[in-house]
Formats: sequence, C-alpha cells, structure tokens
Amino acid sequence: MPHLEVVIILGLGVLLGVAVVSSFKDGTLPIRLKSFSGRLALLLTYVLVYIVGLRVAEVLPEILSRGSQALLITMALSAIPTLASLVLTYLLIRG
Amino acid sequence: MIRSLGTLGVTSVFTLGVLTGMALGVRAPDDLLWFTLLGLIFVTGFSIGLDFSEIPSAVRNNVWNLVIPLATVAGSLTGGLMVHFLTGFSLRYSLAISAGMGWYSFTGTYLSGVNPYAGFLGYVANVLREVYTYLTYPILARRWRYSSVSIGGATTMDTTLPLITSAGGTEVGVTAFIHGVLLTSLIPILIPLVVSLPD
Repeated sequence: MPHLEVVIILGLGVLLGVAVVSSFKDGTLPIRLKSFSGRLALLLTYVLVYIVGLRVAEVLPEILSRGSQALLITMALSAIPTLASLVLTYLLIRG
Repeated sequence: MIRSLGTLGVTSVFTLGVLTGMALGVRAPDDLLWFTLLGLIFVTGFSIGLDFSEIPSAVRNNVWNLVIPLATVAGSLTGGLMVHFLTGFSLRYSLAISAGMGWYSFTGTYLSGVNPYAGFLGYVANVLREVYTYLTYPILARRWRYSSVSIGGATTMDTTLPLITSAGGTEVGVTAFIHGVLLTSLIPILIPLVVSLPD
C-alpha cells in the first residue's frame, strides 16, 4: 500500500487522543487539548492551502489552456459525487 | 457567518499562494508539503481520538450513524466513476477527487504531490462540496434531514456541523458528527489506495 505512513500517523494520533482521554478522567485537559488541536489543525490547513496555491501556480498555464474542460471536470467532480451520495443515502434510509 | 468566512479565508489564502507562485516563482519543497500534511493528519487523528469513546455508543443507539457514512462513500465513488465515463477524465484521479468528500486540504495537498493539475481539481471540487452543503442543507433538511447529511462529506464533523445542527436538530447533529469522524478516518486510507490504481 502506498504512503503507509499516512495510515500509521493517523492511527498514532487516534491512539494518543484515546490515551489522553482515558488518563485524564476529569475532562479539563482533554477539552483544552481539543481546543488547541482545533486551532492547530486550522493553522496547518491554511499552510497547506497556501502550498497547494504555490503548486497550482506551476501548472496554471496548463489549467488555463484547458479552460472549459478544466471547469467542466471541476463542476462534475464536485456536483455528481455529492448528488450520488445524497441519492444513495436517501434510497437506503428514506429519511 | 463565521464558518462562511472560513471558506472565504481558505480561498483567499489559496489565491495568495497562486499569486505568490506566479510573481516570485516560489516552489514549495516536497518535504515541506509532505511533513505539513502528516502534521495535519496526526492532529486530526488526535482530535478523533479525544472523541473516540462516544462513537461505539452512538452507533449502537442509531444504526443510521453507520449506514449514512457507508452510503456517502459508495455514492461519492459511484459519482467519481460516472464523471470518468462522462468526461473521459482519468479514472484514478476521478475516484480520488470524489473520495476527498469535502476534505479539500488533504485531497488538494496529497494529489498536488502526485500531479499538480489533479491537486488543483481536487482542491476546488472539494471546496465546492462544502459550499454546496452551506447552500443546500437548510433547504433539503426540511424533507430529508438525515440523508442530506451525506452531502457534507467529511466537513460534517467540523465546519458544517453548526449549520446541520441548527437546521436539522441536535439528533441529526450527533449523526453528522459521527459521519464526519468516520469519513475523516477513512479518507487518508482511501485516496492513496485509489491513486495507486492503474489508469
């Protein structure tokens, strides 16, 4: 499996979170850590989005040259999976 | 409103990145991209771990809490497959982008490390999924408050959770949170797996 480290890091994060909650039953520290991890995740998201922007700048001529094709694929890849999820879920649970 | 500004904020940062890259020709080192991504995955896993004890009882109390995430994954991948057949776009990238299920920072970053063009599509398509949720959930929730949770994908554990809870009610909020947690745990496994498929 490619990039197994992604799964390992995710698993380690989950295990550490579970260990923290089970070690501190009073709940004060987990709540603070949850707030901290939320802010850290937001910061990392901004850093990653900026890096994606830098990467996209490298292929901007390619994206612009594909113009309407890139737009069509983007719209299709956002709308069709979203709609298919909704339809399938509705068919299964009817609610 | 604050959450909407969040989407606006990431779009602004994304645009800033594109403009910086164009103006200065700055290239992000692969290691920086990769280690920041691993950092985000670790922090996300840690947040999930802090709430992990609530998941088994929530699933026992309402089986839909498990059925809805499974249907969301199946629907998203089916949608990706449909896009491949309709547009002729690469099968593995169609599936990978649709498997992002709204987690644009992971999908965009991971794919831009493999193919920057696919990274761009993955980023924008998944930002749009979050935007669709903001626009359509309050309307759809009037008739289908549980099944409409699926449109939010992974965002239902954080950014779109307040909207879903206010429009659908507290019970749906719990379902949405479990839905987001399960999908967020699955996406970092699913996308690398799909990208490794032959085209």
